[in-house]
Amino acid sequence: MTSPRSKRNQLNAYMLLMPSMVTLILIVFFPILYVAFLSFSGFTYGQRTGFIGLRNYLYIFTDPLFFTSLKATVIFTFWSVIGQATLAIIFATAINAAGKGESGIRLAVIMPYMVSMVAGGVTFRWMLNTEFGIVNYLLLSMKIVDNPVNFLGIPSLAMASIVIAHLWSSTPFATLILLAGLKSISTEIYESAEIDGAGFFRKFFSITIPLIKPQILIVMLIQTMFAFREFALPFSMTGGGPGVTTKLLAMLLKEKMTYLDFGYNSALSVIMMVITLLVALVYLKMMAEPAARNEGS
Amino acid sequence: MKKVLLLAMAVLLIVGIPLFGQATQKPKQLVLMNAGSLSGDPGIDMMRKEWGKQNGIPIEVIEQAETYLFDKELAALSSRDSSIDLMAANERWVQDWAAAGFLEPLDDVMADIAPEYIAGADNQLKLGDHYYGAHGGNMVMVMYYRTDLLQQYGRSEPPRTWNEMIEFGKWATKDLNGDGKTDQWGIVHAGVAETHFGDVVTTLIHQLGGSVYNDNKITVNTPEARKALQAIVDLRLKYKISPPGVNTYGSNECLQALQSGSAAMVFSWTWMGKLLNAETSAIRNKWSWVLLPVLEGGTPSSTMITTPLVLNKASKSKQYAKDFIHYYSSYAGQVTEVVWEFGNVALMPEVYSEAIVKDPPKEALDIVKMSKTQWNELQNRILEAVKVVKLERARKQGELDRAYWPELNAALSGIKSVEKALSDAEAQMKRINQGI
Repeated sequence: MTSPRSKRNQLNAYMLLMPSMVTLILIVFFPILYVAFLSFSGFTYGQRTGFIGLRNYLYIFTDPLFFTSLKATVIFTFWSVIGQATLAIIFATAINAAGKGESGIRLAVIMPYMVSMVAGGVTFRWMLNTEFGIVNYLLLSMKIVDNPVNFLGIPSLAMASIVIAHLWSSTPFATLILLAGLKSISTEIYESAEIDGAGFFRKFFSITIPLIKPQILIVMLIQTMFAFREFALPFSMTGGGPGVTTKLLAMLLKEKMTYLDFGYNSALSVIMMVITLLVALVYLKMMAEPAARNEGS
Repeated sequence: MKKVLLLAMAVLLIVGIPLFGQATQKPKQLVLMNAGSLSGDPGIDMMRKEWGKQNGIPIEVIEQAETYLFDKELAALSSRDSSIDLMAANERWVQDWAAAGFLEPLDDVMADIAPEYIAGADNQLKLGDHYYGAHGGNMVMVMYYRTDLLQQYGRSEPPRTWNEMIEFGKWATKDLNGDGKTDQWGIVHAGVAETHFGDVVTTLIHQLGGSVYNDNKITVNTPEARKALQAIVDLRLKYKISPPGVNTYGSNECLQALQSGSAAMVFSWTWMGKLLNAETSAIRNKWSWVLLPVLEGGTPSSTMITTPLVLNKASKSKQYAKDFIHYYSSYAGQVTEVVWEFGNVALMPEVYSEAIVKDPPKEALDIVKMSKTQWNELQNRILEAVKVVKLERARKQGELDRAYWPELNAALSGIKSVEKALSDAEAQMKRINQGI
């Protein structure tokens, strides 16, 4: 049985939470519900023509282009997440070990994050050009290749190129998160391990990685969400080509958006949200497991 | 009774004067959303200033990057935003916007303009029997070529047939500095999906008597289309006279290839012409243009891209806006465009007989650093292209092209066979049309 004082405290807590709850409902839940509602509607140039049931979803699921885009998006997201987490761990460890020069290196690492994605994409596009690009110029000058490499004109290389450009622009953010995680590890743990004779790799895999696992999972979760809806880089670098091999789902969304087909776009957005949500749930479960184990022990 | 009448007249006068005034009141300004910056559109810039001076109404310009022009204009139109009166659109959008009720008909504006156009040039401006746009800045598809290389090749006339072009292209594809790498290519064209590669292929299809959109009866997977697409794919994959990366090229790469002198021939729109005699250009006074060479069994054809002016239905200054559209798009306006914005094309062939077009002012020649001889040769070749322009019309053309062009790029990239690419394009385009 709860006391009147406890009830009052509860009420006060809800009152204090109310403004943020209302804001959250207005700017998060309402738009989501509205988009879900629109996904069952037909549109002509932004004008709603009525309720059309599942027709938008049916159109999407019978469109071969949707599955091509979905496949491209999954490949892009997978390599972006893996690549970013790996690079961020390496960079964060290196910065953490840098000692005096740390602040300078940190600034240098964060710089790509300050460049707009479109500007970065256009620059990469020129750098990777077969005839005028600096990358091919260097590769040919150093005799690494005999002929220019068509980075953006061959499907696998085009995908690899946009993944690399994405890593260049997004790894700094992940590096900073992981660096914060590394800073929170007590030096005493490493000292004890050293006394026990642990080398660099042993310390790295047995201490560093397990202790920053929550941060790694957060980075992977954020990157999954960002990469899954990436638009600017493929748009400015490959235009979705060659063919439609790098046409990610967000580009498909943008194409239909230009005709203000809010119904189709809402349905596609709902599908993308559901997929992202499912992946996020997996991450959240993975994050919850160590916490539950800790509580259990 | 007399008092009542007097009172009624007084009321009418008081109420009527402002109403009458409102109907004829001059707007403080007109607003035009332009495709790109005004520095690239000296013709329209000159005419909006002149019209503004004559009418006492300045025309403010929103210089909208072309990449987002469609989005911005459609957003303004669909939200009934009256702050923008005029828009430089794209001919592919006019019919859809008119059908959606976003545009004001321009029949009165076009009454004396449309009869001057070459046959079919107004196709894309009409929905039903009404005009919704007026051609302004237009460009034709041409083949730029290097006159110095042609001379070295032993010819004075440019290639007019596809086979002649291939032979010249083979000769011109060279390793100039002996490093084992080709640094001069026979033929360069845009190949990436979002640019004019689709228009190049469509021009070749038209040469063979085929068509693509057919008023929405899509016929892209035809013998003509297969032959046309195969011909251009062969330049890269079979003859290897186009750069391997041409399937990633856009307009800027084409311009770079021209200006740097690394291409003997380039398929593109006429806008690049005004930049090729610049101090920094490696091909200064060593270039010309001509109609796209004709495929075997075909006849000459060309296509156009235009930025017609349209009038926002929500505009509160329609009469003045119409007056400016007429001023800009009329015969006299098009003469001004051709003279002062080199590379812009008039769809009225008579314009090219005007004395000022044949003998332009020195200032006009100085802007493009051109001799009168070069100017006249280039304008004559434009006229040649204008006379064989074929424009097709389709609703949702922009959306259809987004299905059509990536498939052409897939064939050019060697990902799909020509047959498969065209079959996939046709299937997707027909699917889009089902919604109309």
